[in-house]
Amino acid sequence: MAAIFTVAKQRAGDFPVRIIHGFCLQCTRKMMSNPTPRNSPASAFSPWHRLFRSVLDRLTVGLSISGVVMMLGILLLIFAVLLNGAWMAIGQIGWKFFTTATWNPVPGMDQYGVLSFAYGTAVTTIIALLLAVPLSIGCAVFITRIAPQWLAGPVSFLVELLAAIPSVVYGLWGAFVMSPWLQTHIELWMWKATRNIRLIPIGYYPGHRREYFPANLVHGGPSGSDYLAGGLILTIMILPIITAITRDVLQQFPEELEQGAYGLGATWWQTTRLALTYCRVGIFGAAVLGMARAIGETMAVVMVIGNTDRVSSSLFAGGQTMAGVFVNEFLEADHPIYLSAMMYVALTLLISALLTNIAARVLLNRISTV
Amino acid sequence: MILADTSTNAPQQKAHATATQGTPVAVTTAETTGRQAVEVRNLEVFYGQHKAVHNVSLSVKHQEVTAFIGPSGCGKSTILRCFNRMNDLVRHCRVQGSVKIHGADIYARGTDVMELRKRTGMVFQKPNPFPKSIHENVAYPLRIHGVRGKAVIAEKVEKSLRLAGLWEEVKDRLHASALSLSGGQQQRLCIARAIAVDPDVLLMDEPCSALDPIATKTIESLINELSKSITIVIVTHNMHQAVRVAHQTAFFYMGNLVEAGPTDKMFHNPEQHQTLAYVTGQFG
Repeated sequence: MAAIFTVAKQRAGDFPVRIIHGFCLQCTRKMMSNPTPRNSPASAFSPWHRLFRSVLDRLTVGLSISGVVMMLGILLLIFAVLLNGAWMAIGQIGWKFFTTATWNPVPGMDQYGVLSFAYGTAVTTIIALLLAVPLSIGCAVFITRIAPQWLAGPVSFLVELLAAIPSVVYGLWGAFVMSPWLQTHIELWMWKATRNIRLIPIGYYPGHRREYFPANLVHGGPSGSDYLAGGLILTIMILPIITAITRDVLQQFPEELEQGAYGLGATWWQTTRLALTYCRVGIFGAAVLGMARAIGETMAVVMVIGNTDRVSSSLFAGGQTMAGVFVNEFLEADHPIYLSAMMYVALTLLISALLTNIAARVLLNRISTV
Repeated sequence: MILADTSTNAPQQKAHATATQGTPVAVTTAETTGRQAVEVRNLEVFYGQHKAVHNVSLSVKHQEVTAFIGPSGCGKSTILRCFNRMNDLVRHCRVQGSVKIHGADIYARGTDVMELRKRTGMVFQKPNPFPKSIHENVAYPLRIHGVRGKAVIAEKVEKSLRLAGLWEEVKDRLHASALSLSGGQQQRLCIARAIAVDPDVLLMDEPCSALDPIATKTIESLINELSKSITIVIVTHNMHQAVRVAHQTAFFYMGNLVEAGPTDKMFHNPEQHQTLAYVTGQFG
């Protein structure tokens, strides 16, 4: 993320001007019309060679510009296609789409609401970030500031290797290994520990028992296929990227500041904290990249999250994410309004991803001022 | 403490036998008159297999300015960094001999290195303020050494900034970024930061080498001012600077202490011909 921001921050006029043999490469047009200006040393290159060089320059500049145009074009095109596809659903469902949790695509019934999926995406992403960010920072600190050199390399490599595992493999492992183990160990233990702790009343639905925090988090008992499982699998999946970027930015911590802190009598931990504060923008950027990945992740989550259209404050309740609903249902969308509603979900996902990224940028600008 | 290593560096040992014969060269004129802030005995520093400092013994007088001069790579910075054990942070660095600060052997087992570094402040070659506000920079050492309370910290910060001669320039923008200051101001901020926790000794590792002449002059008068209350050891490449600020001067060459004494004597009437050659600009 850091790199992306740096590039974005550079203005068009900032790119370096290369001077070769007294000629500025940005002025090649002038140079071509008047190849050997008077009162200047003759160029080391023949006119043909110079022509070739200038053509090469324009070609590469043109290529990179067309790359940018293409990327923006694709983004706009995706947006347009989704909007077009969702148009029917937008007209028929409108804003109710965002306040309805029910998803009933049976022809004739046709109730479509994105709320439960959006909630699932939000909850799993938050769980993943809460667990992955501290873990990744710890891992990056270990690699850059604790591990001896012979160990840092292999550990770094292994963490990055996690990123190379296909997400469906994570899903498979999650469904067959993690979920059962989660259900019979972690969740069972959490359930036993918290089910009777009722501290803060959080809501009352007529006909139901009043719910309390934190007992509500384990309401329903261990299931293994729930928000927690989805969040955990996402945690593992976003760990490598956050760790790798955090490691890179921590390596940028200047030696002078490190010496300065130690010279004042700071302990290892105090110096490390200084380094983390110094690198906070980069670390935040890493977390944002991790978040983007978590929001968009599909296959692995679908395989462990339970796949129901519910909104529950319990971590042990099954749910669904916005991305997950496609992979489950895109083959079954057999009538127009169903398909259109799916497009509507996709549009919502795209817009919410854009909004969270914009919010992250705003926050980032705020914390980057000393 | 180990004995002088005469076998490995015999030529140099011969050349300045008076400087390295085990008896410490008193930096002060009369060792008996004042307290010694730092006493170094038979100090040897190794980087891996390379011996960077050969059997150096010297003492630094309390509340005076002592300058370490010598060409690059002569070990003067290395010796300075032994005084607050910054060499501990360098991989493969090994220190032998003893360094005593106010009588306490800092290389003894059980020394609290953080406390030692608090009592021996350090100012570096390149101004290295933290990317925090001016106030937070000076408050940082206070905080890490457990000073609490806004008013106490604010008072200490003001005192340090005044002592460093920076208060008048920054009092209206204490919460501006320290990086917005000029190079000379940044260096004075670093000095304020180092003296905020009332160190006994201030170690300065070429503090003016990155500054322009005007800023250098300000720092030098600050050094004069500070030396009334703090012992200062300054490493410098600039011999004129040693003349201007230091009461005592020690000349190092190739990891050996060649000669040490009052600055006047060192620059006008040194005992070693090598010192004379160096201070008159014949080499180095």
